[in-house]
Amino acid sequence: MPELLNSCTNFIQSWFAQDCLLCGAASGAHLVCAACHDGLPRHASACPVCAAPSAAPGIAEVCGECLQHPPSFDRTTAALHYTFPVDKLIQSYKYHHQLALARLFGALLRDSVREQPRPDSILPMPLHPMRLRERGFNQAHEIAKHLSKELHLPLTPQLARRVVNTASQATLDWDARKKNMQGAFACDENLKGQHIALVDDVMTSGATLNAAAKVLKRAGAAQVSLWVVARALPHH
Amino acid sequence: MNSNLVEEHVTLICELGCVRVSEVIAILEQGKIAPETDRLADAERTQVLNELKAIMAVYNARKGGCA
Repeated sequence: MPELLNSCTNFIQSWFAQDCLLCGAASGAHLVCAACHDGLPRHASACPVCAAPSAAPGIAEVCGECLQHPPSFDRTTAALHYTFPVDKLIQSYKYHHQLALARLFGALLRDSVREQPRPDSILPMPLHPMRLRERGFNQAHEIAKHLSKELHLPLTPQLARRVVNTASQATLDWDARKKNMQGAFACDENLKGQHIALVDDVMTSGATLNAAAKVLKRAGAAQVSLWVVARALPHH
Repeated sequence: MNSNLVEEHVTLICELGCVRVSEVIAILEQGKIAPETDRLADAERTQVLNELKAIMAVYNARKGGCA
């Protein structure tokens, strides 16, 4: 019986065999080969609140920015650093419709949040309907679907809406990003006492995630955790 | 009292992270002078202590605390 199963697995893997998205080597049924997967830049030793890299290597403590300007969210978990080749993977996912990468990102994030406090539900970062029509999918929602399934947590995209189609954050400087997000989200639910995990692909300045977390807190959420696939290094 | 100097020191101490901020608070509460505050007058040092304690109160009240 095991031999039969192995034969079936080998047949399926050869049938669906593909090349690694990063190095081009044979990666079996996976999008990224084992070597590239192991070499992805994992995010560690970061501020537990905003996931900015710690000044002192090996020590995860609240950073100066979070001490002086506490954000609306309580903690952030990032699976990876937003650096090469993670940036290429995320760009392929978002802008070249490599939707299958959502499973990989979901798995990486699942492993990173295992030790974190368990939320009541998972909210993918809402996308404005106009942006959703342009892109064809919500990148955060696809990742959140995998997390919801694997962690057995309710997926609750209805908790918040994006009510303003803001300019792309990527085109703005750090201060302009905060202003750009004012009034961008709405929440009509009563979230009293709940712990919400807000999921997104990339956290850069954190302004968008903070604006969404603020709305959730205003709706009564007791805790908001950010779960992001990759954390970009903050600019000082 | 030079409030700009106080603010500057609070910022610089916060940049060292919450572990060091807690240590500086402990030193100042004992009436000693933390190296980060040796340029300050007593009143300024007291003001720095009060501001650091107010900042840390936010995190001490949260689940997870400082680190």
